Amino acid sequence: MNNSRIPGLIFLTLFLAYGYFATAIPLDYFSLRESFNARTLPLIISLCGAVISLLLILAPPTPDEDADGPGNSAGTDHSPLHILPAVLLLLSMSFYGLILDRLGFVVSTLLFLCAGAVILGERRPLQILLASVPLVTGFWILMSLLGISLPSGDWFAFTETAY
Amino acid sequence: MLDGLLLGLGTVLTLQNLALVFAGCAAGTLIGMLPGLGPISAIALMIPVTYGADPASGMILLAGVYYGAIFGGSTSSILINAPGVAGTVATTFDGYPMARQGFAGKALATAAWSSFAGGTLAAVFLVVSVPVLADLALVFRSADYFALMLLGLSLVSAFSPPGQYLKALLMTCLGLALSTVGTDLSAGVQRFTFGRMDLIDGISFLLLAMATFALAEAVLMVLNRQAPPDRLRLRRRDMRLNRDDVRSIVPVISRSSVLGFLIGVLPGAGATIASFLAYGTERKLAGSKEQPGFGEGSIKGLAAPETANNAACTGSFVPLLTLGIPGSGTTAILLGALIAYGIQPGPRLFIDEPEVFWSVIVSMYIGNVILLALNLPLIPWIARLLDIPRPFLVPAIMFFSLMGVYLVSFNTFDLQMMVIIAAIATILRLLAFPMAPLLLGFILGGMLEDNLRRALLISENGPSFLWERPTTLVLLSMTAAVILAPAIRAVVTGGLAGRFRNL
Repeated sequence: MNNSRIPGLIFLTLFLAYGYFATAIPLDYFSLRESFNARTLPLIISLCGAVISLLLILAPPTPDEDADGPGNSAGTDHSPLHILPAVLLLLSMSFYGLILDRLGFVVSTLLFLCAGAVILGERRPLQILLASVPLVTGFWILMSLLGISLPSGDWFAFTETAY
Repeated sequence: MLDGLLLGLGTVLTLQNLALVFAGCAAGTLIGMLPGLGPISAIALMIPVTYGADPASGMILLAGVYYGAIFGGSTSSILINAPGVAGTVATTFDGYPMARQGFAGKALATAAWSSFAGGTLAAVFLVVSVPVLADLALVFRSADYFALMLLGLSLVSAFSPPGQYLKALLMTCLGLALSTVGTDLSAGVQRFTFGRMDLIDGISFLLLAMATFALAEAVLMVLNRQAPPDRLRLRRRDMRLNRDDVRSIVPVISRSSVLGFLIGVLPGAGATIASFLAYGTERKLAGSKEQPGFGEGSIKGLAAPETANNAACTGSFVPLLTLGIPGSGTTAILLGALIAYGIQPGPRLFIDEPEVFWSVIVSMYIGNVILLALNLPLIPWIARLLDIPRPFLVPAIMFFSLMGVYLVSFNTFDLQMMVIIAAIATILRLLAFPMAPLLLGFILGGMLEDNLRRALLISENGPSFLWERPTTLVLLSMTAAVILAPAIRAVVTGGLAGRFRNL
């Protein structure tokens, strides 16, 4: 099975599901009688997407499937991928999103930057702090000067939740 | 035209706007130099900064960022063989060998002068061609626009390399599908929101651009970890070009700027194809004595793609400013920025917003001059940015991407959505699915739907709008030809077994 068939199958399922949900878009009596309504374009996209997905599944493997295209600079070489740090970084970003409002900009950003550096192999605490603290402070000062208020944290929310 | 140029000069030559061009070029160069971050990411990162500024000033800043990022990408291509974007891949062919031979300064100076010449010559072509095209575009109706949007979408997919055509079409469909999330403004009904309030306004284009380009690039940098580059120490005197160098690159620059501009004008072609074509052309034109030098550090081989990619960047503004059709992923983001400022790009832009229209064009001239003045003396210092260790660089890129989106909506749901989209985009990019068609489909989706709805209303719900106007018919025929051409070529050249091989 070439490396296009599994994504092709996933896309086929996705576009079929998209088409199914498109038929569930609520329409009033008058919209239902129009030749073009809120469902029309999604249904056309669903059909086109499903047909192209099928073609992708049926297409035989190509020698240059990893070639770079316009706007695509993945630079896919055949060296081994370092999946664990990439996954940990994605999780740390998600965690950053969860704690940003609760812990405030300064604390949560410092935690995120320090965690990122540790995930990527930096083990010197002083270096990590010397790189992270000026960035957070500089950004916070810049935003303050621009009149943009960053979240200051809702520290009592933890206590309230506990009760 | 002269009135327009004077209006543009009047708008740009204020202290504030000159400072914005300067800041844009500097920021673009710095961001573009970071491995993995190209003009799309640079512009996406800078858009939140321009919110609140007037549209002309915002576009002036973003045009500066665009040029700066292209030049910055060339710098990392030459110094560490790491092209930030596909558009500067051809620069590495001769730029990096030059740097390895000890001519890094000369290579950077050649890149700076070639970019300047390519950008400036193309800006002259732009001034001449844009008003003519804008007049032509005024006769466009909704049906023509619908056909034009289809052509723009199909060209992006058709210009993909072999093996990516179907993937590019699929990504275009995915972009179109994502554009339908949110409230349908004509009927006022919610589509694909699944009852979530956060999705009522749809997905923001900035979020999508940041997640698919900046964040996905940063994750890819971690996935494809490479050894850190050797440190380079550059001196200003190493960056001078002698008379022979100048004599050999002048004809290359003249040819490549015309070629780059013409390719840039075509929606979907962009700087990548322009730079490769210019490199290939110069290699073919070179005599048998010079030809083996290409790929080994030829100054001509460096000047050609550098001139062409900058000229193509300027050329891609023609369809954006005259028809509202982005010619590349980067201009697709600029189109989104224009819409965010409340401006509808297209033929009316020339008439309704002349100061925006002309100030963008004039800022290209000014931007090129500033870029040269800024980069030549600062190259040795700018290059030190590449010394930032990866454990600090990658989290910082991620932080700026997340904050860029958060500062617009102040909604942490957007951050979670970014992470999910970035993870999916990373997997898709590893499987060689191009991201530019996704972004283009997303941006053009809303306009495509509006124009199709309007055209159907005008033709009383019948399909006659498809063939009633010659312009529509010609554009739809071109779209069909573009979509079917690779399939026909595959059938003709590949035989039965390889029928779909080149799709």
